[in-house]
Amino acid sequence: MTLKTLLNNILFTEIAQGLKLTLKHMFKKKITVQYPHEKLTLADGYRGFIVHRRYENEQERCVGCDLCEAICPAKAIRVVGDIHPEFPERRYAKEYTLDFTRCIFCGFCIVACPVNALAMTKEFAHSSFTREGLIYSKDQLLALGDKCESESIAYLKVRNMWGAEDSGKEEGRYHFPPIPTINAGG
Amino acid sequence: MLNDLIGVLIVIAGLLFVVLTTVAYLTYLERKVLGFMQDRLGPMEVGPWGLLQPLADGIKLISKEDIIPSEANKAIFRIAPVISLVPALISFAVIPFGKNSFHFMGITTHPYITDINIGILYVLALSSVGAYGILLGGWASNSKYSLLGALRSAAQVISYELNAGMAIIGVLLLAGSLSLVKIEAAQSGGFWHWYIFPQIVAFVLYLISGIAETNRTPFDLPEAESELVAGFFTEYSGMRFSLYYLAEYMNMIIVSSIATILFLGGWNPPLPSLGFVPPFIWFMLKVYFFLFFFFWIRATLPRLRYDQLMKFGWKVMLPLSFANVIVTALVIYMVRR
Repeated sequence: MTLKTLLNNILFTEIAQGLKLTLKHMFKKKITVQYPHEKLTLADGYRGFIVHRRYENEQERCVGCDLCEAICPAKAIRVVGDIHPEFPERRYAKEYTLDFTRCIFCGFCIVACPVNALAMTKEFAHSSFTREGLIYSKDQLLALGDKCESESIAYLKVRNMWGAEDSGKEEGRYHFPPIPTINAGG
Repeated sequence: MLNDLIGVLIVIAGLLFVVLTTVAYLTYLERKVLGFMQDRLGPMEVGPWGLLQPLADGIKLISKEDIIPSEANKAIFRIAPVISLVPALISFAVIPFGKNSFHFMGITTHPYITDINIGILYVLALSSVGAYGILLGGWASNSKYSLLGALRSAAQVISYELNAGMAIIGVLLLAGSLSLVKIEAAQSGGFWHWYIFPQIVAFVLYLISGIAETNRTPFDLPEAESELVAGFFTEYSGMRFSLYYLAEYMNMIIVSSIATILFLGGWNPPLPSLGFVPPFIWFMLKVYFFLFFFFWIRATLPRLRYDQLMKFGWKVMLPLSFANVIVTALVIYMVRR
């Protein structure tokens, strides 16, 4: 043991350095976010809960094509497509269930959807006391979509899936105008 | 006679109130200090800035189920937390926390409950008794973690109490008394009279031993949560658990008070011109400095290994404290002759 290390041991220099560091951190700005009281601003591309969207005239966009079910890696989506009972020229999803207990929030279904019927929102704090409570039906998804309309549009825009809405030209994505005769989606 | 009794009872009630409130808010303070040192905020939800957190914790602990393991020695299991708490509580009887006695309607209250001439010995003895609470609680739980924690605690308390006692002797030689009131009075008149300067080695030794005696990090081996779940109180729950908790924090206050009295002059202001601040405030400030130091050390240092603890206690601390006593005695002999 050299004289220097002996002196360091006697004067507790290493412990003093540690104490200095902790004391310095005591006066630093805290990084805690007091969650329910203050929330972080989420990015527009945030992958939150998936919703169903409607056209401006309230007609639902989903055409029941099953592409989202096909691409879903977690097998969270189940679509039963059918011909619309009132309008034989249209297809729609007779049943549509999205199981959020299985969903991995990858966003593939939104990419696959040819008519921009699906979008992600900034909703994330949905919890339930039962598993069934997290299996969303089409009506629930539509209701959530109505609530988060602007968020879903922002998501599609920031993910470059909104172009077809304006030009109708984006590759692999089609602009189906709503059927003018109906007001409410069936 | 009756007036004396009433005076003492008033002091006891006041001291109990202050000590219990301090203990309750020490838990809050510890969580805040630790949180701030880790760039967190600590408890924030109950009340403004989480100030009612100790109250919420108390309600929670009281309303918890009181579980006694079926294989435990039930009588000892029940009495052990009390054995741990009571000595910590009655140690406060000899702590002088102020300077002036108050006379009010024929009743005299002193700034201490009693001034016995073996004050410091009394505190040391009681802290040894408190170790029995830990030992018995660990043994009576009939659980391997509790037993290991209790064994470690016994070994640790024995080896570090020795150092604490030897470190204190230097101060006692200088003050010439075992009475805490007299030791405080001997350090009056400015900070250069405090015993921290002639007894700096003893001060450091006592502080380290004090941290070890109260089972605080970096010497918290008896309750090392990463190895022994919770050490000696693994099997305790609810109110009995909180009694151990209270005892730990009370021991912290005792150690801080003793360090304040022996080395920092107790209620004495650092400069005679600062005498307008009440002595009680000075005492509290110094005690809170030591308590903060406890938290500060906890936020800084990791836990020692068991053999390091023993080696440090017996091979470094003990020879140093003996040397300190011998040198102090020699110097005092030379000077006073």
